[in-house]
Amino acid sequence: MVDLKPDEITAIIRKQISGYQNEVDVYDFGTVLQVGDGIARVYGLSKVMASELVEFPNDVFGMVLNLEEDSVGCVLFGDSSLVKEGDQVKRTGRVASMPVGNAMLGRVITPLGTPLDGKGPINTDQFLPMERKALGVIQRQPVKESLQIGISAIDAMIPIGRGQRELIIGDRQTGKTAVAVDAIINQKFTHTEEAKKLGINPVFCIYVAVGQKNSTVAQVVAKLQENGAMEYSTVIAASASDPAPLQFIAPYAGATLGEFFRDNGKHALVIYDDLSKQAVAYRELSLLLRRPPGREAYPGDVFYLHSRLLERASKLSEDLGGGSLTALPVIETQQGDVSAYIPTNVISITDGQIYLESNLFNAGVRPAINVGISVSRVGGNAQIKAMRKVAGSLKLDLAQYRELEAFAKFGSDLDASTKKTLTRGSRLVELLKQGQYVPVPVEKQVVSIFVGTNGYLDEIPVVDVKRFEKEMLEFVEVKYPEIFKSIRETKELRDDTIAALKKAAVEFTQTFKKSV
Amino acid sequence: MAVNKVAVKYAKSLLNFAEERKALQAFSNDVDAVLHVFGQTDDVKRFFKNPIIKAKDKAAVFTSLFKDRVSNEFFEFIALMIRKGRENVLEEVLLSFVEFKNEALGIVPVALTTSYPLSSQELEPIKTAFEKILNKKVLFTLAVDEKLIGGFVAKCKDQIYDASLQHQLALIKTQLKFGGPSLN
Repeated sequence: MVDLKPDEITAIIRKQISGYQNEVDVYDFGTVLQVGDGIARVYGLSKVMASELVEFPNDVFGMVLNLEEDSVGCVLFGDSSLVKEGDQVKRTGRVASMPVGNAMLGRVITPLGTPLDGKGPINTDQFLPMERKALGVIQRQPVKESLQIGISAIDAMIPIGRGQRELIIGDRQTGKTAVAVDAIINQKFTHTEEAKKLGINPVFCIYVAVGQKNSTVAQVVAKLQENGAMEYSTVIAASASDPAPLQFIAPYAGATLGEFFRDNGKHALVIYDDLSKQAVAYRELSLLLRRPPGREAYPGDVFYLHSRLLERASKLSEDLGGGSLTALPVIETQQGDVSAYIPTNVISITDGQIYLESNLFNAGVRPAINVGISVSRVGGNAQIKAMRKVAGSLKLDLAQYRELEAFAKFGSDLDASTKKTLTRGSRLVELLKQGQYVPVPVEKQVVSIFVGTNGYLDEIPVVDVKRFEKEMLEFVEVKYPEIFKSIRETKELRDDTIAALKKAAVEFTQTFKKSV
Repeated sequence: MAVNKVAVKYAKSLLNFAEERKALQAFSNDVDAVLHVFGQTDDVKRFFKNPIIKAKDKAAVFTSLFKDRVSNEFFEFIALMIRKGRENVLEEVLLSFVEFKNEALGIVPVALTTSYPLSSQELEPIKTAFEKILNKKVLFTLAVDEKLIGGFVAKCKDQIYDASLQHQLALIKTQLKFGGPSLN
C-alpha cells in the first residue's frame, strides 16, 4: 500500500482544479420534443451545424443529421431511454470527431474513441472530424507500392497496392474475415528491423467491426493478440447490440484514424467488416428520420455513403509525405447474389474485388477465392517483378483448367494436351490452398508458384502437393538460401536465380519421389 | 415558441393593426389580460380547443367573459377568429403576438432562475449586465430552483448563461474525472 499523506492529496486536487476558470458558462441549448428508436427531435439549437455533436443529459451524445424548418433531427449514440421529452440539449460546437494518435494502437475502442478493453484511458490530445472530404487529384499519386496479404492466391493473382480499395465479397461462412485477419497478421513483418533494411515501410492496421456479435469481435482480438498483431493495430467495434448510429459512424471513425497515419507519412490498412451491415444501420436511421426510401428501402444517398468513405483511401504525393491508406471493405452477399443493391454499389466503387464462394469453400478450396471473377484493377503495378513473372502463367494455366474442369469427370477419353492442362490445373489449385493465420512471405510464394507453373508438380500426386511445397521450401531454405535472399532483396527473378531454382527443384523432386 | 403557421399569420396581422392604430400598449394589455385568464385555469383553454363545442357557444362564452374588459377592436379580432374556426390556436396566437411585440420594441425575455428569490436590489445589477451584453432591454421572468445551490441560470432564446454553483461543480467533476477541459 502506497503511503499518501493527506496534504499530498490536497496538493494534487488543488493542482487538478487550478486550471479551472470560474466564469459564466454560455452555451446554446434546445429542448427535446420527441424521442424514441434512437432518434430525437429537438426544438431550438438554432445555430447548430449539420453533423455536429450535441450533448443530452446523462452523458448521452448525439449527432445532428437533419436540419428542418422548426426542429432538428438527431441520432443518439447512447441509450435513448435515458433521454426524456423536454430535456435540455447542449451544443458542443464541434462536428462529430474522434481522438486519434499512436496511443490508439493495441486498443479496442468504440467509434467515439472510448476504450472498451479496460486498459485505462487513452492519452491523445488530437481530435479529427469523422467526416472529412477525400483528397483531390493533386494530392495523390498512383498506387505503386505493394501491400502483401500473405495469401498466395491473392498476392499472385489479385495483388493489392498501398492506397488501393479492394472489396472482399462473399456469402456468410466463406472466410471473408479470415482473409482480412490474415492481411493484418501478415503486416507484422513490415514492423521488423529486416523490413526496415529492405525499405519496406510499416503498415498500421485498423479493424472496424460493424454489427457483429461481440463474441466474434473478441475472437478476432484474441487471434490478433495471439499472433502479436495487436501492437500495431486498433480494433473499432460497434457490435450488433450498439445503437444504429454508432454502427453507421464506425467505418468513418476507422477512416479517420487511418487518415491520421496517412497524413503523417505512414501507411495504414483499414478493414471495414462489414459494409452491408453499416448500410442496414444507415437505412434504419434514415427511415426513422423520415427520409424517403428508395430501392430495397435504402435511402437515396446510400451510394454516397460508401463512395465518400472509400474515396478516402489514397496514396499521397511525395510532397505530402507519401503516406497511404488502403481500404479492404467487406460485403456479405445473400446466396451469392452480387446483383443486389449494396454489392453492385460497392463493387463499382472499389478498385477490384476478391470473390469468395461457398461451394469452393465446401469443396475444400480454402481460402475459397474464385480467381475467375476476382480482379484487382490497380495493384498489378505494385506487384514485385519476381511475382509478376511467375504469376502470369499461373493465371493462364488456371483459366484453361477452369474451362476444361467439367471434362475432368469423364477421365479416360481425353487427348494428351487436355489431360496435361487438367493435371497442371488440379496441382495449382492444390498449391494455392493455405491454412488460416499462416501468412506466407512473398519470396516463398514466388518459389512455390514457380515450381507449380514450371511443371515440377505434374508427376506428384495431388494429395502430396502441400507436403511437397512445405518440404521444398524447407529444402531451399537450408540448401539454397541465396534464392530467397536474392528475391527478397532485388525483388526480381534474375536468370541466375532461375537457374538455381531449377536446379534445386530437380534435385528435390528426385528425393521426394522416393518418399511417395 | 409558437410554431404554428396559422398562429404566426394571425399574430402578425394583429400586431400590424395595433401599430397602425398606434394602440400597441392597449392591445398588449388586452392580450395580457386574456393570457392571464388562460393561465389561471385550464378549463378555458380546453373549452376553446374543444372541436365538439359549437362556434356559437364559444362566441357566447367569450362575450360574457371579456366583452367589457377588453377594447372593441380586440374583441372583434377574437370574434373573427371564432367565426373562421381558428379559436383552437387562440393561445398560440396571443403568445406569438407577445413574442413579436417584444421583438418590435427591442425587448428580450430572459428566464432567470436562482436558488432563492431575489430582491430588486440584487436583480438590478444582473439586469444592467444583461442589457449591456445583449444590447437590448431585458424582461425577466423569475423562477426559483434550490437545486442550483447558488448563482443563477439565465435562458435567453437559444442560449443559456450558466453561473450556477451546480454547473460549476459538474464542470469540476468532469475535469477531475478526465483531467481535460470540459466538452463545452
